[in-house]
Amino acid sequence: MIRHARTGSAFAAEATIRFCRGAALAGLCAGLWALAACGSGEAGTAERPAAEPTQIRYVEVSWDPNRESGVNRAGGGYRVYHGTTPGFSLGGARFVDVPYAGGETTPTRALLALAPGTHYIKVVAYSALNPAGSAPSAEVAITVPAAPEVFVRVQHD
Amino acid sequence: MRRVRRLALALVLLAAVGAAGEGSASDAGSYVPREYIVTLAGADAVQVLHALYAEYGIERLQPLGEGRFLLRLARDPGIETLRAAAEASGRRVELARNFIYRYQR
Amino acid sequence: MTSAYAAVLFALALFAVPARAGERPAAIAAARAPTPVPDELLVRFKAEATAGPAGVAQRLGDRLQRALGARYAVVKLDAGKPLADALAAYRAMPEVEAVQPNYRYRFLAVPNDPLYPQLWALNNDGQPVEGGTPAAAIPGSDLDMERAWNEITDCTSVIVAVLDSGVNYLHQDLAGNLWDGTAAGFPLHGYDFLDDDNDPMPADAFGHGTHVAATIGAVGNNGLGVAGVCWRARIMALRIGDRRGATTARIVQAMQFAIEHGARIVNLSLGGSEHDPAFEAEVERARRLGVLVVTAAGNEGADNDDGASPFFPCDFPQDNVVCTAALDQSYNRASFSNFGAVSVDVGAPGTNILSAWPGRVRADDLRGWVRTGGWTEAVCNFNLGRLPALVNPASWCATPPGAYAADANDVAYKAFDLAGVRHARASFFRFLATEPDVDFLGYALSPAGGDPFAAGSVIALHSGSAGTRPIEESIDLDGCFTSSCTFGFRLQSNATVADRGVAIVGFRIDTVEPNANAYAVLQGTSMAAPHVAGVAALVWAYNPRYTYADVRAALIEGGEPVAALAGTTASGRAVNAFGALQYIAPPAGVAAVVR
Repeated sequence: MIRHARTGSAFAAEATIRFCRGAALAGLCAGLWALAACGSGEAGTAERPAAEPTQIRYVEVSWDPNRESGVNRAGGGYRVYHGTTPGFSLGGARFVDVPYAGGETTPTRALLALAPGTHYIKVVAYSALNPAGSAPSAEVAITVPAAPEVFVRVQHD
Repeated sequence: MRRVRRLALALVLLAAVGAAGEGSASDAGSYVPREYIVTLAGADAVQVLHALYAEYGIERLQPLGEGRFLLRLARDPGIETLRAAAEASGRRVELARNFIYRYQR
Repeated sequence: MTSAYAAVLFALALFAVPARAGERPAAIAAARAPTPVPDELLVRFKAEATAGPAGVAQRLGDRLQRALGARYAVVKLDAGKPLADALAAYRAMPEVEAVQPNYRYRFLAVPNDPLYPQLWALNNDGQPVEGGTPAAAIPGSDLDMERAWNEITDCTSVIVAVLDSGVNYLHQDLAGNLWDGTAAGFPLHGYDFLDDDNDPMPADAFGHGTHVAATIGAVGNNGLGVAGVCWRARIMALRIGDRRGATTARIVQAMQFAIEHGARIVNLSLGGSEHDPAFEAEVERARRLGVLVVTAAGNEGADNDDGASPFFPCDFPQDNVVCTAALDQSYNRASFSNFGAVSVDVGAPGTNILSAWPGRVRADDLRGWVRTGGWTEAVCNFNLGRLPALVNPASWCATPPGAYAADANDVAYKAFDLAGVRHARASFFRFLATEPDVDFLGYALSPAGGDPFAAGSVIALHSGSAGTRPIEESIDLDGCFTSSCTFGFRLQSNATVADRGVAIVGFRIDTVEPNANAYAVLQGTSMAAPHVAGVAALVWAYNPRYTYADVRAALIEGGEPVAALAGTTASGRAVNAFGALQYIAPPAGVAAVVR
C-alpha cells in the first residue's frame, strides 16, 4: 500500500481519500493521491484496473452534506460506492472512504479513478454510532469517455 | 390501596354510563354552542363581522391571529345562515364551529 | 440485554465475516450491535504459528497492543487503516486462526430516580407497574432509552410545547425542566389560554398535562420520582383547556404562541372528529416554519382512515404531523388505540404509563363525615359492584327505596387539610331525586371548619331528578386552602312531596401543590404521543442541523418493526430512541463529473 498526502490541493483540507483495490493506479499519480486497497474484505489484494492505466479518468463525485452530527465528527464520514451495472449491490462493491477530517463538516467530494465506460455511483453516510451507515443515495450514472491519445514530442539537444 | 383502585374502576364505568345518558353540550358535543371560528382578512375585519352578524347579538369577537376570530353569538341561526350572510356581502369569509378536542387518556 | 442474547452476539461477532455495507441494515440489528473500537482488533493465533503475534502485526504495519494469554492479542492498527481491510488482511495470514473487532461494550445509562424501574416504556424488563392494570409483558418492548441515554440525555436546546390541561411547573420532578419565558414576559413557563392569564397551572387540578409533560421531560437522575425521555428539557406549558377538553380557538392561539416563542415541537395529546380548517391552517403554518406536531391516534379502537371515523389532528395530511398509536407492554397495539395505515405514523408505549401528577388525590370512602338527620353511611349495590356511599334517606339502597323526610335540613360534612395547596377540586357522583325547585341538595365550603352551611358559604344547589343516572360533579375548592377546610352536603325539603333522595359516591379531592411529589398511572394514545415528542426532542438536540422532516424520518426509519403495527400504521414501526439517534439520512444531491 502506498499512502501519500496530497498537499496544496483544494481537497487536501477536506479529505483523506482512499481508492479501493486501486493500488496499481499508484503509478498514475504518485506523489499526489493517497491510494490504498480498502473495502470488500479483500484488502491487500491489489487489483489491476480493467483498463490500461493511460485510459483511467478521474470522476469527481459531490453530494450535499448530511445533517447528522455523527456524520460530521470523528468516526463519521461517507463511502462512495461505484459499479458498472445499474442498481448494483453495495455488498462487495468498490468504494472510496471519505472520513471526517476535522472542522465543521465532513468533506462531500471524492475523486474516483474510473476506466472508460458507464459507471454507477451511490453514496452512503456513516457515523460511529452507525458504522453500517445510511441507506444509499439515489444512484447516478456517469460515462467515462476513452482518453484521447497524447503525443509527446521529445526534443534532443 | 387495592380497594381504592377497585372503587376508581367502578366509577369509571359509572361515568361511562352517565355520559351515555346525559351530559351538557360542552361535555358531550363536538363543538361549543353559539361559537364559531371566522376567518376574514383585512384591516376592517372587525367592522365587517359586526355588520354581518350584529343581528344575532355578538357576545364576543376575539382575534386569534392570522385573520381568525372567535365569534360568540347570543342567538345561533346556524352555520348555513351565517355563511349565506357572508356570501351575500361579497367578502371571503370562512366559518367553522369552535370544535372541542378531548384528551386521549 | 439477557445473558443468552449477549452470548449469541458474542458468538456471531467472533466468527462472522467483517461487516459489509449492506443496502439497508435492519434497524434493530443495527440498534443492538455494539460499536467496534475503530483502530483495534482481537486476534487469535494458531497454536502452531511460527511467527509470534508481534511479528505478524509488524508485518502488516501494526503493533501488538497487549497479549491476552498465549494465543490472543489486541492489535493496534496503523493510523488510518480501515477496520474492514485489516480484518481481511489478518484473516488471510496463515498464522491467524480468527479475528474480530474489539467491540466497545458500555454501561447503560440508568437514572437513579426511584420510580424509574416501573417505567416499562423506557426499559421493559417485564416488570409490573404498581397502580397499573396487571398485564403480560415482553422484555425489550420499549423505547430502548438506556442505549440512547448513553449518547444524549439533554434536550434543553429544543423547546417542546405541551398544549394541554396545564402543567404543575412546581412539581418537584418538573421544576427546572421548563421553558424560561421571563425575558418574553412569561415567567411562569407558558400561558393559560383558557383563563387568559400567564399562569398555566392546571387550575381545575386535572393532571393530564402534567403527566404528559413529565413523560417528555421529568428531571432525570435527580433521585426523585420518575425520569423523562429527556432528563433535561425545556417544556413550554400552554394550558388550552380543562378536564373537558380544549377548543379550536385555544389550540390555534397556543400554536401561534408556541411557534412565536421558539418551540420546535408541539405535543397535542388530544383529538376530535370534525375537520377543522382553522386548526389545519395552523398545522400547515407550523410546517412552513419547521415545527413538528406530535399527536395521539385516538382512543376509540377505530380506523382513522375508513372515512367513517376521522380523527384530527391525526388525520391532517401535513407531514409535520407525527400521529402515534399506543402499544402495550408486549408491544401489541393497545385495545383502545385507533389505527390507520395512512394517517397513523408510528406506535409508542401507551398503557400503564406512570408519570407526574400535579398533586395528591385524596380518595375519600365517605366514612367519618359529621352527619345530621337522615344522612347515613351505606354500602349500595350499583350493579357495578358494592360501593360505599353517603345516602339520605338511610333506605336509599333498599328495595324498594324509601323517601327522605319532610321539612328536612340535614347536613353531612367533613374536614380536609388543604393547607398550602395551589388549587383543589372535589369530585364525586351524585344520584338525585327531589321535588323539583322545592327540595334541594346543596354544597357548601368553609375555610374555618365546622358546619360549612353555618360557617361558610353555599356554592351550589340542585333539585329535581336525573332518574337513576349518576351525575359527575367537579367543585372548585378555591378559597378553602386551610388545614381544616370543610366540605358539606345539605338536603333541604319542605312539608310536601318527598322523593327518593340523594346518594353520593366516589368522593375525592384532587389538588395542585407546590413541590408536589405525586405520580399517577394513565393509559391512552395521549400517553404514547409524549414518548414520541420526547424522542423527537432528543433526536433534534443530538442533530441540531436537522429539519422537522429529518426528525420525522429519524423517528420512523429508526423505528423498530412491530408486527402489531404492520398494516395498521404507515410505518409498521414503534419509535425507538436509540434507532432514531442511529438513523442517518441517505445522502442527497449526488452528482458526478469527469475531470
